[in-house]
Amino acid sequence: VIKRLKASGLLAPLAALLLWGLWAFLPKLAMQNMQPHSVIFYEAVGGWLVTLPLLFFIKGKLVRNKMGIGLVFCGSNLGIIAILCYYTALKIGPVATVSTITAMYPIVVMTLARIFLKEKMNRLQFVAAAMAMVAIYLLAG
Amino acid sequence: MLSAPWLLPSFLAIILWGVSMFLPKLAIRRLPPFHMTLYSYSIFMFGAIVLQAFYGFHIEFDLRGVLLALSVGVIGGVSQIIYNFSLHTRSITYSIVITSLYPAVATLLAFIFLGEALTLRQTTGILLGICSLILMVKASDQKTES
Repeated sequence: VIKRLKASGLLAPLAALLLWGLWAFLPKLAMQNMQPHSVIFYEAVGGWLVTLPLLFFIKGKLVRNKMGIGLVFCGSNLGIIAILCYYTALKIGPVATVSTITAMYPIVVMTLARIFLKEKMNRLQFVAAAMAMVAIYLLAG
Repeated sequence: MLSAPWLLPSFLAIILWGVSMFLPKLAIRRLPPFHMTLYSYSIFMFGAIVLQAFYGFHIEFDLRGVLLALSVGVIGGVSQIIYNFSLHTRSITYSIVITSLYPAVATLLAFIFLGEALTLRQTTGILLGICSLILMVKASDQKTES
């Protein structure tokens, strides 16, 4: 099974799915005793515990592609602004509806990939993507 | 047009999140996965410090909470590396559909470890998510058409 998953390129996204599930779950426990801003700080430190050793792995030679760094910078900052918009919506709107609407962001990603990267899907992938969106809708509500 | 005041920030959040998840696919063409992870976590650390400044650098310390938060960071870091590698090798459409199902895993973990009740709606969502993953595996054997 692992061989097949690896060959189809599914192993990495599936591993990320399981780890992100854990990542989404653990803050709930951490925030029982601390405020969100403190949790975010320690989370950043934890992230560095994993990512800083990568510097040794790449022998300190970071690729300095300006466009690449700019894209990462824009992506990260847009993500932070998105969280702010999300919290604003949550503050003034119904939680179930707001979280359901915002959970649909993969549709934006798929549309952008279709327009700018010309990524195509076969019929089964379309069905799988539609089912995933319904699943997210049901889980977010 | 947008009758409720919360609709505008909600739609902005969808679009900004969508764009912020799409940009790494463009960046991965210029930066190797390890390098990209290092840059994004440096920006995250900077953001976390700026956030502390807003709160007057009042960082709480509760051993259990700190250990859990550090674990969140470690797990997030590892999953980010794996995700970047998946972006490097597969289409973003493929990776985003699979990884966007992570609330199903979080819901299941909350059910198992926190005893949170699973509603019929959530159970249906988890089952549909599993079906969509199975379909994705099947779909990877098929030729891309449209």
